[in-house]
Amino acid sequence: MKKKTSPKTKQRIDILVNKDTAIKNISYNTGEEIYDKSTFEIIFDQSPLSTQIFTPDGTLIKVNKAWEKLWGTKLNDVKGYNILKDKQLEELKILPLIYNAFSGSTIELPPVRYSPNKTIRGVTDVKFRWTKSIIYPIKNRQGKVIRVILQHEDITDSKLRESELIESEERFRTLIAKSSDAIQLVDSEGKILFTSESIKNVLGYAPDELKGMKIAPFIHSDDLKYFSKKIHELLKYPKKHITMQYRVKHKNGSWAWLETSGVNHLKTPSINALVGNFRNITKRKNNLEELKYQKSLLLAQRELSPEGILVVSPEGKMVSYNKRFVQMWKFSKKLMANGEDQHALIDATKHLVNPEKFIRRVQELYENHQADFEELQFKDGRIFDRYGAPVTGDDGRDYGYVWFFQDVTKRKQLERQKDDFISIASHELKTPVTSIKSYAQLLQIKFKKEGNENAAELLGKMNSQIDKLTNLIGDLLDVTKMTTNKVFFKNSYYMFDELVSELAEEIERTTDKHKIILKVHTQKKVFGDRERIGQVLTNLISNAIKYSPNSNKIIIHSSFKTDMILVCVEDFGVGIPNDELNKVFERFFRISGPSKDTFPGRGLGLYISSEIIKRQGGKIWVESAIGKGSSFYFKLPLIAPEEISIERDFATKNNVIN
Amino acid sequence: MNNSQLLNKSKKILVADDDQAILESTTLILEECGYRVESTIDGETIFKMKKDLPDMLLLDIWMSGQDGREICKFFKNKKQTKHIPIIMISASSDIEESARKAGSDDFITKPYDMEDLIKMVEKHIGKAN
Repeated sequence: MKKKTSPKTKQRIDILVNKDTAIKNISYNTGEEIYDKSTFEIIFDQSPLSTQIFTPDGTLIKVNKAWEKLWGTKLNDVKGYNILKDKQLEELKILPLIYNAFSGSTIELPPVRYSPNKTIRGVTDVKFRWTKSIIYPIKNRQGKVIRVILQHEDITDSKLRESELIESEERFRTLIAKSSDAIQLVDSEGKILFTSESIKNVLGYAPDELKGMKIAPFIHSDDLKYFSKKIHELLKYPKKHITMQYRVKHKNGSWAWLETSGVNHLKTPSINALVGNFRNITKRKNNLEELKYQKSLLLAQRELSPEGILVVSPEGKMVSYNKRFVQMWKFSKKLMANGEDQHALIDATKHLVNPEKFIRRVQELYENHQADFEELQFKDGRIFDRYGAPVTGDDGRDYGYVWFFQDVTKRKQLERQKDDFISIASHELKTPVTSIKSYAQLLQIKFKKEGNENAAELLGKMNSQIDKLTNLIGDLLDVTKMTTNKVFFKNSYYMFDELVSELAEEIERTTDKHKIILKVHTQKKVFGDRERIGQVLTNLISNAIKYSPNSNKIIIHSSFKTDMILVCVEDFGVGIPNDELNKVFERFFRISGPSKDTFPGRGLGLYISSEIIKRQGGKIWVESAIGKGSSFYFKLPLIAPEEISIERDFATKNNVIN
Repeated sequence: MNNSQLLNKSKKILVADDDQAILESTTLILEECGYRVESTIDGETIFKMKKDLPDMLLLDIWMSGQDGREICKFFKNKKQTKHIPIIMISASSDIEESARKAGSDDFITKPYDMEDLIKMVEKHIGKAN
């Protein structure tokens, strides 16, 4: 800003300001023209420069229109303002300069960001402007300062433009420094002439430490041949962009993959170098390598899997499958080449015993994006386990559906053979047990008749052991029936409370210590298998006795709610550890006592009980606290379902063994 | 009355089972209670039986080569034999329904308690004498 107040104006103002003097000595200056007071007022007011006049003590006494316009305020608003007491100017550290003006010097003030509104009480909308000012004194003939004039120019706009420029320059510089790309100039001998700052980000070096060095020693020996070939290419074709990828030693000692775009500017004036723009692509390279590796692994897994695998795209195309899958379903090459999943589905049904069910289920799964398992029975006797699940990306994207098929024919056959074996064996065991029991009972009668009480008692004991054996055989048969889904229920109406008290009485007879307390209040007739429910109750009560050796009571509660009967067999025994609570209903599970093997048992009773309750449409569960006892609960519907079919879509060939 | 005279007057039960030991032990139990007992291991002979019919038939479901239920049906379909009570015996309680359908008057599972068997027999033909 070079607009300085012209001497002429200065004189005019001088005259204007020094009212008394000016008027008295109106022609003291030039004598050319005579201005009266009002003329000076007009000039003062119309001056484009914002102007303020102060008394020697710093009080503001006059402002012009430019000032009012600049700050949007009137003199009245800042009445009594004293520039020498301006806190804002003090903070801006220009008050000493202003003092100089009041002592007689003309001072150019540096640009400051200022708002007079700050000095106006009650004004919150403070408008800041950048101003550049000149402040100068008016002296009388004796050289005494009688007025001080401050003129400022609003430089806010240019100041803003300036700061924007600085900012964008800074941004650009930061960008370059942080860039993942670096630029390097190399001469025809491979000597480094220049490297941009960003080399630090790319390879960890400072540009200066590379200057004058040769490139070749930095290159990975495996890539050297490739690199020199590319350099020859560069030398051969000036100005052509050539892209290359190679490994370079990073400052930290590792190998970094670089992707470089090089141009031969050897003949270009003021460059005269090979220019390379390179970036570190190690991560990308590694990702690619990882991807390749994962793909090979997947392929190997897919092909070596004994399961048939099929992936169907969301569009219904068979996008990935293994040989095993094609073999298992005996699909033709043509069908696979065509790739339509729906065609394969239809072709698959010709093998199946229950094709409609299969198709229906598959369509349902596709529609609902569900995962599930199903057993497929083939017309040729094969059995497949089918697993299916939607494939969803981390981001929730739908990648279609994956199917697994496992040929379980052999396993199923073995399982069936095992079940049949147990079934037959148990059945065969029953025949000799029957005659042993008969002989034992006959002998018992005989000894009693003869008065040999001792022998009769022993035979009684033998008889109860035979009963235990019978129960064991019964349990084994039951387990087989449960697993092969061959349990039949003989449902009829029976009084529930009656069954409970009958059994409680019977069991109480076999125990010396425990008292069975009945709190049964259902008064309901239940439709179900009395004998099987009796079996459950017997099992729960005998367990309660068995696992509470240090207590002397068992409580049986029963109640009735809406259409269910709730039963609880409560003992005050050893209890069940929390982590075993869910396992007690599993096959062959045995509750571990304070010391292992304290409680002999087969671990079949609770499994059989839970299966019976489930199949009678009820629910069984347990609550327990270690050292305090267990409560086994079950609830049963008043009317048991005729048949609970456990999902098995094939009927076993063997019927029940008699 | 001597023993044999008593036996001649008492009721006769035919026991049919394909297991020799069962036949013998069951026979001993029933004889102990004073019944006359005949036993057979062969289902075929029951079909051929014409005279000297028993007062009761204890029939195992699983006869070698013969289904006890078929024998039961045969008995119950013939005028001369349909009045004879039949108790069917099986190791499996699941059989009861089909046994009763075949015409069996009662059903007992193996291994049975001597007392239970005797009670059941008495229920149908009364005490031995």
